[in-house]
Amino acid sequence: MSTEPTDAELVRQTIAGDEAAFATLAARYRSRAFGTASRFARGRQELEDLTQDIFLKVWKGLKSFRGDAPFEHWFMRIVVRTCYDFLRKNRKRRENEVLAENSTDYLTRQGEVSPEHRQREAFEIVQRLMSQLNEKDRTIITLLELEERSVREIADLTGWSESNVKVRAHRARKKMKSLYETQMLAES
Amino acid sequence: MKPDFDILLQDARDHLPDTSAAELGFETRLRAQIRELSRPPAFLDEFAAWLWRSTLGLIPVLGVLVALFLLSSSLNDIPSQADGLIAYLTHAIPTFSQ
Repeated sequence: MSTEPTDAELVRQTIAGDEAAFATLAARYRSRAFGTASRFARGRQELEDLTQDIFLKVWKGLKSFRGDAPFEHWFMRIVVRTCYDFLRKNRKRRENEVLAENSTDYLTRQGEVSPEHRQREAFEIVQRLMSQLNEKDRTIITLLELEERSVREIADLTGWSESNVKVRAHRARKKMKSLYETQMLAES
Repeated sequence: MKPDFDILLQDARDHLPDTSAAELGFETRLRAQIRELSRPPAFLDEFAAWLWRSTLGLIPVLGVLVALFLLSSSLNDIPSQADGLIAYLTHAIPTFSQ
């Protein structure tokens, strides 16, 4: 028989002032928050700040958690909205990023590098392509293309309508593809 | 051969950023931050906050006082007697001398 407290129990204990209960809850959901946040943040410091911000929002908002849906759903909504707010706050910095920052092995030495190296470079190229999108489109593309979430799920997490998500995803993808092809032409 | 866009996305999707270093000691840092936020404000902090709010609240009052002072000092320059007032106004009118 499992003696692990449920999420609802940990939430109740946290609201009652039990800080250790919140630490247990944080340990349980930490990797999910880090997984999503790492698609939005650049570098370790940004990632630490963003995840800390997420969990502080969760802690402050626990009283508003009604428990009619699983805690995970409520938690992931906070994760996604905090990541979106993070992009908005850092808009200026990201606008200054240059698309063709440096020529990458991904475009020039395909097949000669390890899969991990190739995947990391692909991720960096996608990040740079996404820096040309606005925050809403960037959030949608990250969730749709990198996290492989469905349109319905994204609509639920962000609070935007499904049709809005679909239209934005289509346009953003088209724009990214065109930018990527332009870069490929420049590299060849 | 250069990869097409779909392959690029697939490769990017397969990349799982290593977050282990950032996750190390995360709960400890979080608990410290929560303790900091939960701490009742110290007397000096509260006094400083009160002083700052009071100062901000007094700005319009000080503005009105300064305006009243300037107005009264300029009114004091105007002579009270009728003859003096005429002389004062006469000096105020520009004259053209050849």
